[in-house]
Amino acid sequence: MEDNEKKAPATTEVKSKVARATGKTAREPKKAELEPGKSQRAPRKRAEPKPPKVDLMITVVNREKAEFYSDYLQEYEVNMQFIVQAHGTASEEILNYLGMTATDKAVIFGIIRQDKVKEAFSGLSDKFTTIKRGAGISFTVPLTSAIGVAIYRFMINQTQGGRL
Amino acid sequence: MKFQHEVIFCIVNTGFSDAVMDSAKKFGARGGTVIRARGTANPEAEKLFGITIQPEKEMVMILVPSELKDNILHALYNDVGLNTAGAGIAFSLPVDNVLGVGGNEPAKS
Repeated sequence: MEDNEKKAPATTEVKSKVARATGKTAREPKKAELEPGKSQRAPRKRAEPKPPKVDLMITVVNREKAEFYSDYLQEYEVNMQFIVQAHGTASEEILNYLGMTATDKAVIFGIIRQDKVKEAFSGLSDKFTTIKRGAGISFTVPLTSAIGVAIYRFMINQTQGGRL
Repeated sequence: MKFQHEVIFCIVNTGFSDAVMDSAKKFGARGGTVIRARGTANPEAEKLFGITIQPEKEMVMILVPSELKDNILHALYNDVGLNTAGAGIAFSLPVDNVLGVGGNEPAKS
């Protein structure tokens, strides 16, 4: 018992001498190293892909074309949409000049993934210019927060897959 | 991030959407879209602030270039703000992709 107590300070002294010579401080053994049978390295976590960002897409079109554009936007994974009836504010003079009579409009609010916006706008641009009485405007507003995993999955059209 | 366009939402009592557009057009807005809506407010809050909320509302949505936004918001505040019969509130949101305003090409703000 006495021998052990005497030896202990000697070991510490040796360690400190080594540290002085090599310029390195002695490393404390990790818990994993002390336990036999356990791997010394902690398993590295695989980087999970970030959940995609989404925009609120607002599209204003003639009311008679609302259903058409709603279906068309579905092709770009705009799953959640709602259509609101509205009317334009163009004056009589402008309406006569353009040869239009009615100002009935529909506003389509939808949620679109940011990586799909370019593609969707390219398609919409074609439709706005080629379809008779199909002109309209569309714009996106970035969303900063959303709550509820199921709803978020629905909005980004991800029915299965990894964690969010 | 700098946005080239903003969308202004102005919520006023029914019948004041024309006044909103008149104010906005003075400072360069070209057109807007009017949506009918219904206001909700806590009666206690109404009493506290000394205002009455007419439930029928109109929400005017105006897409404008960013540089026009401040002037238009000031005009709306003065012409159809809370101290007027229109009892309107106005706010703007940044818009990062626009299609159908000006040219036909999609513009990235």
